[in-house]
Amino acid sequence: MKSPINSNKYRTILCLIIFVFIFSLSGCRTTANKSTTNSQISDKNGFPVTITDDLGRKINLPAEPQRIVSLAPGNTEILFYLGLGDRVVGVTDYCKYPKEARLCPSIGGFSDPSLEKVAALKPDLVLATGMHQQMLPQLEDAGLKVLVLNPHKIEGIFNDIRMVGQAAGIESKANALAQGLSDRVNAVSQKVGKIPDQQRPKVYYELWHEPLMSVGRDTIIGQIIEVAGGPRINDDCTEPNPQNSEKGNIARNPDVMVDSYGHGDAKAPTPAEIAARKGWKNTGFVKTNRIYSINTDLLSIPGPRIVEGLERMAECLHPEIFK
Amino acid sequence: MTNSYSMKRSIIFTLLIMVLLISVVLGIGIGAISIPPSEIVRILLSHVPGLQYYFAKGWAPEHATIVLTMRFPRVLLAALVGTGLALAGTVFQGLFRNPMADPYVIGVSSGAALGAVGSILLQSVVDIPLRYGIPAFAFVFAIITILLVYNLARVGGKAPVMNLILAGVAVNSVISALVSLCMFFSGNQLHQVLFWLMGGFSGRGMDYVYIFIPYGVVGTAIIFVYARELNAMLLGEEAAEHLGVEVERVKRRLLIAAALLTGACVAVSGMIGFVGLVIPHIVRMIFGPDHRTLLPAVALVGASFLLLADILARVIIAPGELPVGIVTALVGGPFFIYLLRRQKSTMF
Repeated sequence: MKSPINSNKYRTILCLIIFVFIFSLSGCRTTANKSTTNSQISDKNGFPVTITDDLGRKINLPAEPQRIVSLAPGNTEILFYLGLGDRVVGVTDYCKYPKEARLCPSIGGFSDPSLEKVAALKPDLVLATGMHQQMLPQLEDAGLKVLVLNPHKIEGIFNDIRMVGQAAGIESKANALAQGLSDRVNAVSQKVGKIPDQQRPKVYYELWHEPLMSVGRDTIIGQIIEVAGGPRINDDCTEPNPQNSEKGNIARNPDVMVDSYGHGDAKAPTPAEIAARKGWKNTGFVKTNRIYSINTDLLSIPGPRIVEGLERMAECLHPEIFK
Repeated sequence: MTNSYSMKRSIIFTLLIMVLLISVVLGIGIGAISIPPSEIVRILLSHVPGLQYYFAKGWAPEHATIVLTMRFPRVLLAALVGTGLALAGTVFQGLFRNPMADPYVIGVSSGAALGAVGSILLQSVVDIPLRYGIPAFAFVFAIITILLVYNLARVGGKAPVMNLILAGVAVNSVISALVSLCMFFSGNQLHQVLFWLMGGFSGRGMDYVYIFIPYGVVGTAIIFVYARELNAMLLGEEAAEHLGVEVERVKRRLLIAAALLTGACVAVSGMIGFVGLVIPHIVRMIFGPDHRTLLPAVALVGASFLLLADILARVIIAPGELPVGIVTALVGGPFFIYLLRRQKSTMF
């Protein structure tokens, strides 16, 4: 066995090792940003171009991307909306719209894409979302150009449309399309603006029924309901997906209920089932039979169809004006 | 006699190294995109310093990308974590003279997990880069947990088997509640927390290897330095004291080393159970209790075991992936029950 003197020597050595390693090695990381130097002369479409994405990352694109992989349904819809469908070489299993997107090779799920499949498609641009933050270092190590789309508001989606357009070298077309969408939103809010407060229905939005879940103020759906002219019964709530108590819902006596269950969802409750819920028969929306359903894709996918979702919502809340 | 023993030992070590190499090759060879084995070997060898001139670049560049930036880091990380968990388990078992001690069972892993989740949540308050924050917090919480569990379990100078497990269960349940509480309040960071808690090696690149290495190297170095003291501790703390071991000091350092390893493992791959329980046991059956041979053997077997478990996790429901923790638990859980049964018959 070692003597205590020996132990002391070890102690010094170990302390040294600890210092050296923890304070030096921990910091090192592959310097993967093999960004090409910006000395090239711009071609006619403005490439190379540097784009700042929704996370504030700066991405340098040396040439107009021709092989684009989308890691989310919203990204796919934006690409096809911009007429870039023929450049899309990979989508997720959840990218069902538009129909042509289903023909693209799959790179796996939305939250768990196969990065190997992404790399094997040799994309020159990858469109990710805030959900994919943990995978960014590996995608960057693989030398891929990744733009993160992470909109929190309707305007954020329009900004993303402009950003993707800029990245793909079709900036003016994208700006025009985004402006068109923006005009449709303005048209709705102008009409809604004329409605006096007392004529605005209190809205109960149901995201899911077991347990009862709604949306908070700072979500895109929350914003849609607000723009469409209906204060939500839980306007004070800042949580993204609050669980509502049944009693609380009834006590606030909402005038309109809107849900957005997926079409063909076997578990989606019918209006009759909702009206038959215990204690609900005296709430405003059951008595006036104002229970509406909106295709979930129109509200939950952050893409151009969100405007359709807004227009549908406005029709539900103010049929007298929007029909 | 001694000669034939050392012969046998070197044969077994050679075998273990070969198993590890085979596991590495399998681990790099299997994936969503099929790449011919010869191509993989050439890609890898072309990156060994000095050899690059002998291998013409006759492969698709995206294959090289997949092998070098996706598969190789993953395999390396799985091997490192397997080593780390198995060594930490060996130390806990040796120190507590307790065959059921394992970072997962006695709650050190959950403690580290709590620290890691806490550091993710702290991000909204202070801006510590996650690659420093997660392992550091995991390490600190691992140490706090191990001290808590050990002191709860201690009766006199010893921590009897059942006490240690009960203390582990109790502390574990409190910590899980705290982790759930953190998740409840995580708001926008919930996705990040979940991704991390799910654990495994999917999507882990070289950056995770760099996070692990400093803690792993320091922890491993300390453990190997104290191999002989660990042997003495097997005789009981008093006997070790008589043999000239400064028991308290050695114990403290070894606990710190095991917590460093556990913290680093949990920080990069979440909660992976039972590696630290099963591996030291099996290896001890083959090599006997001498830590000077036990430790390197445990390191090799731990690496191979977790590599193979990760390969299984990738293959079973391909193209999907199981969390590797499920695979190790399915292997280790029954083993744990078996040990508990055996222990019971000798204890009561």
